[in-house]
Amino acid sequence: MEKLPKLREFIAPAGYFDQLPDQIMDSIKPNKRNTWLRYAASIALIFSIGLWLIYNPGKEVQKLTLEEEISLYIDSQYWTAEDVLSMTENPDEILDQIINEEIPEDIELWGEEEQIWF
Amino acid sequence: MKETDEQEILILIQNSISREFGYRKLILVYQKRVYHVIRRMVLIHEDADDLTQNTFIKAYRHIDKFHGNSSLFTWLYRIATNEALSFLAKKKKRFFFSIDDHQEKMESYLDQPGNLSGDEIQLILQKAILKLPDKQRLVFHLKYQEELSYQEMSEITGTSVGALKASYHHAVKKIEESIKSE
Repeated sequence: MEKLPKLREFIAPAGYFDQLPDQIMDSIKPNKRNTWLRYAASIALIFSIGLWLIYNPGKEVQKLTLEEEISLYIDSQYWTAEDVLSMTENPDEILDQIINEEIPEDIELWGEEEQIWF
Repeated sequence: MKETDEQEILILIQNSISREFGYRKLILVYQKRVYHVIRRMVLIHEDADDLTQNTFIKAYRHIDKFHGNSSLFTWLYRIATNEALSFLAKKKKRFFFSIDDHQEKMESYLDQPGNLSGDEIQLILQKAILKLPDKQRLVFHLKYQEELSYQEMSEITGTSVGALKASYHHAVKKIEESIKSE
């Protein structure tokens, strides 16, 4: 190996490292504009459901549990995971819980038996 | 990076008023090293970009769990290498359900002009390294390219120094054999 050269680094696109800190900081900061949009979308949704119920009083509505209703909105891509988080009282705690559930998976990668290193 | 600089960043981050400034400083100091350690593993820029951002976002969300038992750099590298290995492991799992072979994708990426700055020996070396198992590849990069000590590598990977030495030895042997057969 002594005769072999060091690997040359892969080239990142021009200006990539100038923009990266801002991109990361933007991902971390809560986006106020989006929060208002989410609230507006939620109000519009409730209003639409109300109107639909008023104009379709005779039809029997299939009742869904709260969980089923939330799942329906997520599955139909009406709400994103972020929307659901923003409506909860403790989004950070839920997010931490999700991340904590992910991290043991990462740690396991290193915790596997050492013979796989050979 | 000097220990005093790391301390300075940590003090900034721990204070709620200067947290954002301290965190930006952390990114500015480590972004290139974190990006390159990930890029060497996943090769493709778009993947490396996602994983680099994830690394810093996870570091931000879990900075209160950093107790200073290792250096900030070691802790950040641990997150970065876990991100890269998790990504590759997931890609391999998904291959069972998909026609998209990520290993082949990475190999062909090396052949595309403009992605690798270097001559033919660089290409041969990169291809030989790519044949190694992911973890062995990581050990090789941390030792050969980053020139980290086995102790630092042990802190990053949570693996014993003995296992890392053996892994590096086997990686070098495989690369030499692969290059000879070219």
